[in-house]
Amino acid sequence: MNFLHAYANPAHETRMREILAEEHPQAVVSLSSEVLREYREYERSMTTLVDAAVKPKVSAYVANISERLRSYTGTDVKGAEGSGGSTGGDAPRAMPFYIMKSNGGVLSAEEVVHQPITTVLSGPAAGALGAAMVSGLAGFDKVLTCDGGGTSTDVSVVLGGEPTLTTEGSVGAYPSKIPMIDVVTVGAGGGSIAWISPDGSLKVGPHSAGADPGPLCYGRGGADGAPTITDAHLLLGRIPPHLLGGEIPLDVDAARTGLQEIAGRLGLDVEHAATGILEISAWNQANALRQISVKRGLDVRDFMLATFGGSGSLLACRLVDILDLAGVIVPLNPGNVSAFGLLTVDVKNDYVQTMVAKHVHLDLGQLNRAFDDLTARATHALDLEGFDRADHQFQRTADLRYVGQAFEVRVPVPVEELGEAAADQVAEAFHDAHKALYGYDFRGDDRQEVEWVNLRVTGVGPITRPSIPQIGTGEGDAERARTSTRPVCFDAADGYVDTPVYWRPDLRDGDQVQGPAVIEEFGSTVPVHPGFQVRVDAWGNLVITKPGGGVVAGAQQQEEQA
Amino acid sequence: MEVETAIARTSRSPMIRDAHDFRAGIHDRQLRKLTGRSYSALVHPVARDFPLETMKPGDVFFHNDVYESEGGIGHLPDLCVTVPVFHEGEVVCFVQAFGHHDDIGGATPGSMPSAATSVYEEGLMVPPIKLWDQGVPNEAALRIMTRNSRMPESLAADLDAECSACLMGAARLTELFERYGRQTVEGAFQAILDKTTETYRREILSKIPDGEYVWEDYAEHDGVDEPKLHTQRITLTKTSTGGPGDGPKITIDFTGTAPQAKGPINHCGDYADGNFLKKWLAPILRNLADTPERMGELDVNEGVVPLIEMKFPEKGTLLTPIFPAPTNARTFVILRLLGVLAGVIAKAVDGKMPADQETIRYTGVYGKDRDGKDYLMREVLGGGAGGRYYADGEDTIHVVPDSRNLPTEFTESRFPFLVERLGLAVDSGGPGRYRGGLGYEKHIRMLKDANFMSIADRSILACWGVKGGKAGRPFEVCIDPGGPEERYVDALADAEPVKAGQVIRIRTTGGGGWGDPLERPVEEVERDLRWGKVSFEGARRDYGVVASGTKEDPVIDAAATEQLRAQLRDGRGEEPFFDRGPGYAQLAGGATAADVDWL
Repeated sequence: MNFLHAYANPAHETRMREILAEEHPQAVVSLSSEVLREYREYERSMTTLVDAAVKPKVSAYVANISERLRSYTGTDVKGAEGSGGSTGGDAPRAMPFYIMKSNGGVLSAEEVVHQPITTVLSGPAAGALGAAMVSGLAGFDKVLTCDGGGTSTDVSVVLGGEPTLTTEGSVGAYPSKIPMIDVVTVGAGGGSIAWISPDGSLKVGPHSAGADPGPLCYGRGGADGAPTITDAHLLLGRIPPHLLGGEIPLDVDAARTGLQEIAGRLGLDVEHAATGILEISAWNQANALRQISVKRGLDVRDFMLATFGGSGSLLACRLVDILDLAGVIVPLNPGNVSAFGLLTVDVKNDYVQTMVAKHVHLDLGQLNRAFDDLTARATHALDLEGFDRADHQFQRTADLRYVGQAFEVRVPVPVEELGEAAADQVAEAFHDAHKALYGYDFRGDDRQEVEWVNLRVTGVGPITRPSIPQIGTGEGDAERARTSTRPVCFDAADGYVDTPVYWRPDLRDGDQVQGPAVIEEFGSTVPVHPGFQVRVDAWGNLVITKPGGGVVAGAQQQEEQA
Repeated sequence: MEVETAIARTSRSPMIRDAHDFRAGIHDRQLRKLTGRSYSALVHPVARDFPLETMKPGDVFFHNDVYESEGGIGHLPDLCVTVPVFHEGEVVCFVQAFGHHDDIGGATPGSMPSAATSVYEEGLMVPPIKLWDQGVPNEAALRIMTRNSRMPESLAADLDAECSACLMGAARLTELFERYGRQTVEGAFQAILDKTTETYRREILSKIPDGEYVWEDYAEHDGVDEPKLHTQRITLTKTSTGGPGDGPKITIDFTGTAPQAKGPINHCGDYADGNFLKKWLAPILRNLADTPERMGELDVNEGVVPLIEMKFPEKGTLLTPIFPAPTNARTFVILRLLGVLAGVIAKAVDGKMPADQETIRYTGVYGKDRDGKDYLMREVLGGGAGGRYYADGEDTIHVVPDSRNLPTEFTESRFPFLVERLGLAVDSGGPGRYRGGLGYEKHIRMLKDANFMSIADRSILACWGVKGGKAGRPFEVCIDPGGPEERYVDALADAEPVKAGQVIRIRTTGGGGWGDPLERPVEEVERDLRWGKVSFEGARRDYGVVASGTKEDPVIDAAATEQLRAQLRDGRGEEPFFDRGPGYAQLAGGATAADVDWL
C-alpha cells in the first residue's frame, strides 16, 4: 500500500490497513510509511512492493527453519520466540536464530518476517563485514573487499572498519531504497567464459560455466567448449592441477585445447591468449572497484584490497598494478570469510523520516521531535529484541543538499538535543562532504541555500564478537612451508619461470615470501607475481605489497593505525 | 560515465537533474568522438577559434551559440563545456559535456519561445570562449551569463557541475596516458573507431540492398504560420563500392526539404559536412543488426562517419537555415529525421524497421507560487515507441536515455497543483500485429491561476505505422475537460491561462503499429484488454476482436471475432506501406497518403 505523501503523514495508510484487516484478514499487507518513510513515490512504491512480494515466502522459509531448529535441539528457538537477546546464566540454552540484513546488521527471525525487504542482497554483505573485521584487526581500516566466486565477484568499500552503505540499491529492475551495504557485483568469476564478439574483440563474462559443467578443466566438456578464467589460470600454472588440496584432479589438456582454439582465432599463441583473458577479467574487476570508490570521492591508492572467496585472490597482484592500490590482504581460509562475517554483526534497525526544510528556517523543535520519534521506534525494536536499555546504541544521520539538487549527501548528526550550533555543524559537515565527493561546495555563498531532507536513526544492539586466534611465530624461514617448484607464466612475454610453491597452513607469523611464488591452501590459491612480496601477520593473513609501488600508502595506513 | 554521474548528482535544472538531458563524451586530438553510449556536441568550434597549441592545462571552454557551433548545438539552453586533456605538455584529447539548462534568457521563461522569429528572442548567445583560463574562472563572463538568466543560481550551479565533472574526466584520461604512454592509448583510440567502421560495414550496410530509396515526413507547425506540412525528405542511396577501402557506403541526400520556417523549428545541420547529423542519425542503422541483442551492443562513435555521405540542399531550408533564423524547437526536425531515415530504410528492407515514435515534448506550468514567487515547472513526458517486427513498442518511452519523471511528491510539494492522475493513455498505441507503445495520460489540477506552456509536434499528424500497422494517437492537451470552459490547446503554446481549480489533461503520443492488426493473436488483444491498454471498443474497431465481460475478466467471442476479422479484411482495399493517421488528410488537402508512402 502506497499513498501519496504517506512519508509525511501515515494516517490514511494505517486506517486502510485496519479496513483491509476487516475485509481481507488473510491479505499480506506492507505499508509504504513503515517500509520506507521517504519521499519519491515511485521508489517508495517499488520498495514496498518488493517487501510485500517476498513476505509470504520469507515467512514460510523462516517458519520452516525455526521448526527444524526446534526439532533438532529440542528447545525453543531464541529469536523466533522473541525470548530476548542478552539473557544468559542458567536459562535453558536456546538456539539463537538471527537473520542477516542488507544494512550489515542482524535481526531476530521473528521480527524479520515483518520487514523482509531489509534482508535483500544480504549475502554479499556478510563477506564485506567479515573482511572488514579481519582487516581491521590486521591494522587496515581503509579497505576494498573483493569476494570472488564461480560466476561473479562482489566488491565493497570498508571505511573506518565499517562497510559503507547505500540507499540506492535495487532488486533486479526494482529500486529498493533501504539502507544496504553497497556491493557492486561484476560478472567475473572463476567460471566466466572467454568469447569473441562479432566485431572480433576478446571478451570475458558475464556468462559463466558455473560449477556444472564448470570450466573445461573439470573434464565435463565445459560450456560449449569455451575456455574460462580458471582454465587460463591452470594453463599458466598459477593454480595447481587439482582442487581442494588434491581431492579433485583438473584436466590441463582440456583447458589447453579450448584456449588453443580461441588463441588461433585471435592469431595469438596460447600463453598470450590466456594472459589476455586474465587481463580483461582483472580490468572488469578493477572497473567495479573504481566505480564503487570514486563514486564516493575516494582515492583507491589509499586502500588495501581484501581478497577472499575461491577466486578472489587470483588476480590480486594485477589489481594492485592497475589501480595502484596500497596492497592486498588475504585472510586465512578465504572461502569462509562470508560465514565468519555472519558472526560479527550486531542487531541493527534503520528508521527514516523525510522532513524537507531549509537550513536557515530550520525549526529545531520539530527537528528534535522527529529525531526523538525515530529514536523511540528504534528503542522499541531493541526492547523487543531483549536488549537492556543500557546497551542500546543509536546513530543519527541526515541527508542534506543544496536547494534544487535532486540528490542528497548523508552526514552524521550528534546523538543529543540539537541546538543551533550543533545544527550549523551538520551543515558544515555537509559542505565538507559535498566538496570531498564532487570537488566543490558553496560554503559562504548566501544564494546557495542548504536544505535538510531526510532524518535517519539507526538503533544498534551490540552482540559479543568472536575473536580470531593468532597462528604463532616460527623461526622466520618460509622454507618450512615450501612444497615444490613448478613452472608458472606470469607474463606471456617472459614465458614460464620456475616458481616456488608454499603450503599456507605451514606459514607462521613473520614469514616473508618473495614473488614469483604461489601460496596454496585447501580452498584457494594466491599467485604472487614477480616484484611483489608477502608478509604473514599474527593472524595468518597474507599481506602482499609491491616495494616501490603503492607500499608507501599501505605503510602509512599501518603507521596511522599504530 | 563517471563524468555523467557527477553532473547528474550535482546539477539543479530539472531538465538535467531528472530528465537527464545532458551528455558527456571523449573526443580525440583529431576531434573524433570516441565514446559510444552518449551523443555529445562537437569540439570543432572550440578548435576552430582556439588552436590546440594555444591551449593550457586548466583551460575550460564554453559555448552555446548554435550558429557558431558547427552544428553540434541545436538550441541555446544546451550549455556546452569542453576541457582539453594534456600529456607531456600537449593536447591529446578532450572531455566535453553539455546539458539542457532551465533558462538562458530570451523572450519567455525557459528560453524556448514557441513563436520566436529570430535567434535574438531565444536567449544569450555565447560563441566559444575560455570560461576558465589555466584554472582561473572568468568571473566577468560568468556574471554576464548569470545576469542574463531568470535562474542565475541554478545556472551557476549547473556550470560548476559541468566544469568540475569534465576536469575530473580529464584528470582520469591524463592518468591513462601516463600509465600506458601516448602511442598505446592513441592506438587504442584508433582501434575503437576502426572496429566501429568495420562492424557497421559488415553487419549493417550489408543489409541494405543497393539502390535509391525516397521517403519524407513532416513537422506540422512552426509556432508562427498556420499548421502545414513542413517537408523533411531523404533520398537514400546505397552502393556496394565507393566507401572506405572501396567498400559499401550510403548517401543521405536532404534535397526536397522544405524552406526554412519562420518559427523556431529549424536545425543548423549543414556544418562540418554534417558530422554531427551523421552521428545523430546513425543509431537508427543499428535496427538492421542481426538480432535485438546484437543491436544493444552496437555503439555509435566517429567510426560511422566515413561510411555516410551527406548532401544538403541550398541555404534557406529547415536543415540549412540562414542566421538569425530561430532554432529552439529544432527537435521537430532532428527527431523527425530519425523517423524519416527509419522509414526510407523500411522501404529498402521490406519493413524490418521499427514504426514511428515521438518520445519528447515539453509541457509545463508557470506563475506565482504560494509565497508569491515566480516558478516554472517544465517536464519532458515521453510517448509510446513504435512496434517492431519482433515485439510491441514500449510504453511511455523518453528519447533521452536514463531520464526520469519528476516525482509527484516533489512537484506537489514545490508547486501549486495536484497531480490527479498519471497513467497510460488507453488505445493510444498504433494498432498492429505488434502494437505501438502507449503514451501518458496526466491530469494536473491547478490550485492557483497559472499559465500552461507546451512545445510539441505530432498533435495533428500521428506517429506512423508500417507494413500494415496503423498510426498511433496524436498528442492532445485539454483544459477543464468536462467543465464549462473545456477547450483543446494548441501544441505550441507559450502562455495558455488556466484558472485555479481547473484540470489540465495531457495525453502524449502513442507509437505506430507494425504489421497487420488483424494478424495480432487474439490472446495478445485479450491481455491488452486485461491490462487496460486497449478498450473493448478499440479491440473491436482496430483488431476485429469481439469481447464482453469486464476488464478484469474479458470474455472473447471466438466465432464473432473470426467473422468480424474476415469482414474487415474483405472491406479494405489496397493500403499504402505507411499509415500516417487521419490528421494527414487535414494538412494534405484531403489526400490520405503521400506518393512516397507506396512501395
